[in-house]
Amino acid sequence: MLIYLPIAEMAVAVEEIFLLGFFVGFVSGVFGVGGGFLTTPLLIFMGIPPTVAVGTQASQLVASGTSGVIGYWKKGYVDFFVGTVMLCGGVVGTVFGIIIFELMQYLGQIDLVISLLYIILMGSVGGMMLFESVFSLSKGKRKSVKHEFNRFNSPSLISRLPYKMRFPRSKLYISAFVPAGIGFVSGFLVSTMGVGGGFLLVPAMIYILGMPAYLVAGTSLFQIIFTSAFSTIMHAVTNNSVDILLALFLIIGGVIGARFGVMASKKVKGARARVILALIVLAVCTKMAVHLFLTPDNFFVTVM
Amino acid sequence: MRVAVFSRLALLVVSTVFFIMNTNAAYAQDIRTGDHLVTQVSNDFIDVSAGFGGAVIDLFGDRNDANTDVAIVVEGPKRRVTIWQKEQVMGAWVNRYFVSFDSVPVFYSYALDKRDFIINNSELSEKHNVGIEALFKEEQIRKSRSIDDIEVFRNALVEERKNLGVFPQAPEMVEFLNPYFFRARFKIPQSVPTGEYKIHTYLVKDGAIIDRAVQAVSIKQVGINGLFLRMAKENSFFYGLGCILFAFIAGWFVSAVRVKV
Repeated sequence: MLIYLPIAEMAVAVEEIFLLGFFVGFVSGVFGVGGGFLTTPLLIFMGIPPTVAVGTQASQLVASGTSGVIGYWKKGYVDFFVGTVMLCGGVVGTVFGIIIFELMQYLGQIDLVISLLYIILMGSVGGMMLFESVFSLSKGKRKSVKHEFNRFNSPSLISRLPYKMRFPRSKLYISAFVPAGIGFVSGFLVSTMGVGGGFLLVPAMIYILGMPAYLVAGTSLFQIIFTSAFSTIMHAVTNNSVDILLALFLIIGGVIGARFGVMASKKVKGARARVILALIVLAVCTKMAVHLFLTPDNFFVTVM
Repeated sequence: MRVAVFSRLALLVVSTVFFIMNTNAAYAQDIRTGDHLVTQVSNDFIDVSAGFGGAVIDLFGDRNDANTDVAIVVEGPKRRVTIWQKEQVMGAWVNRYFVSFDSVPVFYSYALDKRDFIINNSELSEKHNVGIEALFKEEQIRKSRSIDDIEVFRNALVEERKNLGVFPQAPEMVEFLNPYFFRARFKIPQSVPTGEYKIHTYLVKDGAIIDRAVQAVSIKQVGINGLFLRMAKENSFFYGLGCILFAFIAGWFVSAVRVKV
């Protein structure tokens, strides 16, 4: 069944959008990741304009973030204070990202920027994940990393930054610029790539901030919800590129997919799951790279 | 003193009258509508709802002279379009050179009663946009400095539009139901851009336009789609807020269901 999207002004097959949402929801259910890194490129491959893909994906992140954060919140695994400081940085990062997005659109290079960001970020994250998981698979039982995280010493530069604040919940005494800076990166990624950036935030919060590991996932989700909500409004106001019907079918597909994903997650666990996730990430990255580096069929692109 | 004022006033009145007569004459010379040609469109609006599956516009016309030719042009709203040419930079294919056309119709089609009568008719093609060749004019163009040949860019755009079904592969045929009464059918594809569409019909005799007529079709999003579009355009802040609210509720609902099962 074809449906006419009111903002994109084009007809798309509902089944395709639904399946895409389902697949991404499934992946996020199995691996506990946001899945934004899959949605945006897949929408673009389907022919949705990049601006609409990124803008709409931001609103979808609000939905998946909300459903994720509630579980952590009930267990008390969210540090709202750190999250709010990160959010302040996230707002600035979003504005910065929107400006870059607008500028690149004007220069006709937005596709290039999105592809490059994906290839660099996905390539490095996927590569590291694959290396680590294959390594730990071959070694058998891996050591529990959790205890090492907190012993990680912050680099001296970070401890010298001004405006130190106390974050009692996370037992941190650190410059407000550090969580705000991490939030800034997240805001930039949401507004330019339509990804939550959990794959970067979580390690950054563990290694750079030195937060207790059990607080990290919930806090980063909390922050992503509001950053992507802000990004949604910014995209709606500046680019007019948030398509609510597209979001609706993505979210419905995602919800159902996530349920199946959670069921499947009981069967695939640990390093093996991470190998699969790493391969999916690298596949998306490769597809992007092929698109960018292989001689195209059509040397011309038209932009309205 | 008085005489001078009067004579000046008189001069003003006379010149104004002349001016009006003159423009009227020019106007009358340019369009002599309705004498030889009447057209009527089958539907002057097309509603685009979420389940829109394309549409058809029929244009009916009646001419009083069987010894004429008919050319019909359908044009959607015009927008600026930029075409980028990719070039390899450090291995990557990057948008490098551009040509922008200022007013390219989002939809264009045309119909003729005979394939070849518009050839060599510069009035029809250049002034009235009959035929794709006529669509992009020199003065509308903005481009990269190093680009001289805009023809390849133009062709790329036309080719893309043809594949999307918003430009015709070939002219449609004007069918005659009798020597005077004719019909032309235009297919509107599913992914049609909305807006005000104009259908111009030209009656041509011995290479000169002897009459013309225009009909308008309004293609608009209606229902829930129209509501969303209007919200997004006129009240984008609250539209964005609405999208977020919807996403919050959906997320909340999911987590509630997940806990129960």
